[in-house]
Amino acid sequence: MSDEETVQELSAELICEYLTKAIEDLKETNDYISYATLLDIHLSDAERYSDDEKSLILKTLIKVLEENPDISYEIGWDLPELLLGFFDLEWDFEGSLLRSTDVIKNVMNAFDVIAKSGNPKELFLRSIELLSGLDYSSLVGEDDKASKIMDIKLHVLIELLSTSLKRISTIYPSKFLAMALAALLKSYVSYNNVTSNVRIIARRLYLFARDYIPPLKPVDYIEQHGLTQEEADKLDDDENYLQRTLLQSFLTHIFGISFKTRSPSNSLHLYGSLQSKNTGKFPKFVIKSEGYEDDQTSSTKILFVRIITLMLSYDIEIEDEFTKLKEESVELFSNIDSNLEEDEKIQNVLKIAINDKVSHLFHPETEKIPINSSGLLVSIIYHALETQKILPISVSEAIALALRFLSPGVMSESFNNFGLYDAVLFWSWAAIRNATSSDFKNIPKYQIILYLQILVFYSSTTSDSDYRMITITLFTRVLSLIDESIAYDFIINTLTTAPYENAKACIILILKDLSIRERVNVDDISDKLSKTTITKEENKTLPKLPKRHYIELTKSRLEDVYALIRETIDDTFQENGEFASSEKFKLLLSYINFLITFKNKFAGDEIIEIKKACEQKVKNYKNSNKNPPSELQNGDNIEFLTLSLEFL
Amino acid sequence: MSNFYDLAPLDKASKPFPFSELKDKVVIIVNVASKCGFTPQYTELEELYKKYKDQGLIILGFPCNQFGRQESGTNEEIQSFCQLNYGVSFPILKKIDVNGNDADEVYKFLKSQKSGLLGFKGIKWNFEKFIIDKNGEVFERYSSLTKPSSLEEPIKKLLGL
Repeated sequence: MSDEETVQELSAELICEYLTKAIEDLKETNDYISYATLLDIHLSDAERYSDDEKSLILKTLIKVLEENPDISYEIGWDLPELLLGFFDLEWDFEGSLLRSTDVIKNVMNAFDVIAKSGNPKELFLRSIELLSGLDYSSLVGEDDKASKIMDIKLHVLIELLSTSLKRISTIYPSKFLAMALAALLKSYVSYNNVTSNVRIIARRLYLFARDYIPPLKPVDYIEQHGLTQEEADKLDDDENYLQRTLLQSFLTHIFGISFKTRSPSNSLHLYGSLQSKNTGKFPKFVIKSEGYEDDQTSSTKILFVRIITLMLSYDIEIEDEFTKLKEESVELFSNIDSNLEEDEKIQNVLKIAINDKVSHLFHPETEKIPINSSGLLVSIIYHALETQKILPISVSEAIALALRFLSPGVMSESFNNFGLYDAVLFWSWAAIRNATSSDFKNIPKYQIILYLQILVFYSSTTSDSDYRMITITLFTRVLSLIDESIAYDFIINTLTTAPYENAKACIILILKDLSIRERVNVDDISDKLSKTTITKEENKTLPKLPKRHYIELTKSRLEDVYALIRETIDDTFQENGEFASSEKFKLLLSYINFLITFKNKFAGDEIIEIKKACEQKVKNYKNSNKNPPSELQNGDNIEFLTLSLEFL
Repeated sequence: MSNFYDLAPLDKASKPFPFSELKDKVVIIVNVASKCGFTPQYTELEELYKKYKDQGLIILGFPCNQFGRQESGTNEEIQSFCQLNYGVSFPILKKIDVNGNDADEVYKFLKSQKSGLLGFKGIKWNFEKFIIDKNGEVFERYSSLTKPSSLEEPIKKLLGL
């Protein structure tokens, strides 16, 4: 019979007896390592015990540790890992609260005893190590039991971290706090990579920050370190400053990490409220997202509002920080060489934004926690929602925020952050809701172009149709407010060079819309006229202002569009007659739709030429007997094109 | 604002409550909320007030809805709640903000005079307490966890009892 088999046959009662009796040997020999080995043997394979037996063994362990604090102190560092294992075992908790389950309660009590009498520095390091090593893969699929178990594991480890930190005796508490916060944020990042349901862990992080009490200094630290009172006071001030800064940074990082992949929906709510003011009705999608707001979403929102409250308590003056953030963002791009070509200026903006992003990243290995400006930007919206006060922001500031925070995501997917996208949309809408053309007059052209590129990129890549809609609406509104030639050139450049076919189809619709709609007021002329003091008589003699469209379709512009349509016809069908892609086909349909609207503006022979070219392609396609791409399996699509051509 | 006695927050009826009238009194200022775990502290605050008001103690409650939205009622509702549930007889002034840009001048002053844990100036939760001595100097600041009854000794000392 092997040793392992012998151990497996031992009853729980006998094991309890061994654990108790071994204390006598320990007292004689002071051989704590042997006692640790004994615990390891009997606790590391606890699944062989029934729930009652597990509880019996745990209660015995607690009793031993309570009566012999020296054991906790000497070998406490070894126990958390053994105890964590109990959470992963099978035990019956259905129908009862997890924490009232006997086994769980006993494991938590054991953690409590160790935290209070173990060696604080060792336990502190151990809890950091175990937190960093937590495996969150069980959370994939949102299993309720797995989620509850993970919550308890996080609870006991963070409590252990917190309690042992308070018990450490040091004159440099900021060093330990920095380590703790770095470990917590590292865990949060890992957790976020697995699931977007972050409420549980975010709450633990919030509680850690809220309840933080610094470690006590040794009573005789002044003598011990040979300090003068003045030096001791300065050390205190410095340490307090560092701890304040660390906690402030930590809170901003929580916001920066929390919404990496999940939408806070704040911009949707703002847009919805703006729409309701215009129409008296909330748009459908806002009603939809309100309907989705279950208890969990609601309690998550409350949690983030609590974090905002704590940020204010921890002297982060949110409104001042927003002012700083806006000023910094404008300043960031203010030194771009005006002699450069527009493209070079845009490249410079991208470089600056990436460098800025990297400088604010959290690096667990450095244990430095700079203020997370992205998190700050996201957090300010929660403050705005809580106070029902939308802070003032100009169009140029909103654009600078977009360039700073969203352009890195255009360059690399790893920089994408849904919370930032939402925040930039929020502040863009806040700035643009009452804007006029004059608000864009002093904004450099390259900034406007990059801003529009960012909006096109995010509207094309987001999988959320509500966000796509409000981004495109914003994009259209900006186009209607900026200089007409910039707007037109941007549209044509995008249609010519942008890699997003789905965006192109949408942009053609926008071009059509802007070419049909007339400007409500021709801002500059109207403004100047309204400000000029003129008599009624003089007024009578003034010529009536010509009606102007947002984008006038001049002869040369019609030629641009014509060339693009011809190109698209060739791109849509391959040489063998097949479809190139469904996106290309939809793009062609959009162009034909555009052509139908403006057919009287094009030369008659151009329309005939396009019609003939399309009809020939359709004929070739039908002769090819090929199936359309899967997205266009419905055979009506090609008929739809044929039908559209009849309207030309 | 450099002098406690220059302050004049608004009372429940939105009329100025000049602190110049508090000269020679020991003052406890507390940010209150009706739906907080610390709300029962009203009982001990009222006991302190009754016991020492004739010797020169005054307690001023400032309702604040910034912590967990636990003071969401109107000024009238708050007054009524305090009187009905805790028999509060010390003044409960107008609802204010204690943190952030819209913080009331009283709290800007108090926080500038005495920091909390780690030197943070912000108020952390409902029922933080400040004691101001007879000369208008902020004597001490106490967290929400500090029971009002434990303020009795410093109050007696400041009252010269």
